[in-house]
Amino acid sequence: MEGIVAVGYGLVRVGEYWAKDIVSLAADAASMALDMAKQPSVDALYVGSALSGALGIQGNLAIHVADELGFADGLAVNISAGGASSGLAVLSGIDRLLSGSAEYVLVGGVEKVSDNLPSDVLEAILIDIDRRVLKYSGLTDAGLAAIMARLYMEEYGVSKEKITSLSVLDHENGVNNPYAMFRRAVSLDMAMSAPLVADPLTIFDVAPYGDGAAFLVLTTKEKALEEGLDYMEFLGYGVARNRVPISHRSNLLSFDASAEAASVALSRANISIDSLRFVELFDNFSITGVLALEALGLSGSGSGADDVWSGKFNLDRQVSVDIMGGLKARGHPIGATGAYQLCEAFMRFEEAPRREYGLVHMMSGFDDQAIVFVVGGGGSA
Amino acid sequence: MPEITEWRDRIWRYRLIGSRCGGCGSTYYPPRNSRCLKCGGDLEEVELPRRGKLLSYTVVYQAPTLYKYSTPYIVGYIELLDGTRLFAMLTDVEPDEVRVGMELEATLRKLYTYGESGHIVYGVKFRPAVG
Ligand SMILES: [Zn+2]
Repeated sequence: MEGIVAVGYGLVRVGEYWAKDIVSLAADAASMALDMAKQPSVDALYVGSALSGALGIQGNLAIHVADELGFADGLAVNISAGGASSGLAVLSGIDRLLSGSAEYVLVGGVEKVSDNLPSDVLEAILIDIDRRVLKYSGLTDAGLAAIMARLYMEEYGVSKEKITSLSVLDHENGVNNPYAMFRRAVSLDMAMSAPLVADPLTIFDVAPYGDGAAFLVLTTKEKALEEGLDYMEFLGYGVARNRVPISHRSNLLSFDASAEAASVALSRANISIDSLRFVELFDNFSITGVLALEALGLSGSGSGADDVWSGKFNLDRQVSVDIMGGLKARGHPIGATGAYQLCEAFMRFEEAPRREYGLVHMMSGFDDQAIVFVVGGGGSA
Repeated sequence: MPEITEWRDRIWRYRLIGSRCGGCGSTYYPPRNSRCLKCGGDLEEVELPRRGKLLSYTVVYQAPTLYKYSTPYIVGYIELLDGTRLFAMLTDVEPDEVRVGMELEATLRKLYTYGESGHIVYGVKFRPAVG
């Protein structure tokens, strides 16, 4: 895959926006991205949002965002695919550019969870993941992650502390991210002794849901060079799905879709995993981040938690993980989270002194649908 | 009206009905309407064994609206005698009595009540096996 770049990013700090509605929140982030790209004429808009329709906030969201931004014509497409929503929006925009049907596309996502009661948001999330399995068993998303964590601990003889050390790393790195929901370090003791969400997971093993919006302007590399715009390059992507309902999987601890998506993305980019400088995990829970590390090929089966615990993926190491705080510290605006990850990768490249590569992992549910992007920096040089 | 979906799903939920592959014998719960994931064989409806063992579990403290008056409650990942795996709530047992590997049996219980209509939804839960 060649020649597609991002030339602008825009995002708001993840949190609670009581005074903003979903359309203006999206417009704030989108306007920032458009400004950075020097206000190009956009041919297509792809907006990811997992719950805006389900929560009764605004259906058919993309046309409202397009109108708010003053786009007179062009496609306006809404994508609702859980945690993969904005990743699929980005992917759709890339495909639109590759087909030659557009010169500039605006892609990203927005989520508004603070307008509804937390228990109603949780119910919508569970139905979004899998109504039949979750609703009739009383299982929550955190409960499912907790069941995976206990299986992992039993199977590999790993302590809970080692799994939770990924949350501690996220918080340590999130201090440097101005858009993170939480910009403070936490100790392992604090994370371990916090209130339980679903035993053995505490609130520090669970990425917090929040309001958020993040967008990117994409175009061809040729156009970016012509206009003299700094860019982040998309070098490869892969998409794959795992089995649903999750009870039909033979191994709950094997994130096969993430593994497949990463393998395809790296091979399309023609880059080996050893030449990556950073990896952004879709760690909606500490345990799912650990399982993703193993699926992506950064750790062997059963050694992901050990590796994080031993500091193998810290900021000063060869391959750093969750350099902007991951989902735990940045926050998790579900259908917008993937776009945040890509904006953060772009931010990292702006500061990097030399050309480097990053891998960004996203998924809906528990590896239900995984998307992996391999991106590279280097500016307009 | 979301409650129509509970009604539509009632038979497999009450009677623990899954799918079994005529080709390789793989079983699935909830039942699948299409083909076997492993071999592509035809599937038939089958009543699953009502006994199994606990593979993993959690105690849920933060629940969605329909279960918010039930917290804390236990949900198990269970392997039935024929190898079928499923998730179900545990009952007649306290969190500190639960052990991975314990023998369980299915029982029909109330799951939740819809506030406005008062419609009670029943389904299978698992309790420690007797004998
Ligand atoms: Zn079969």
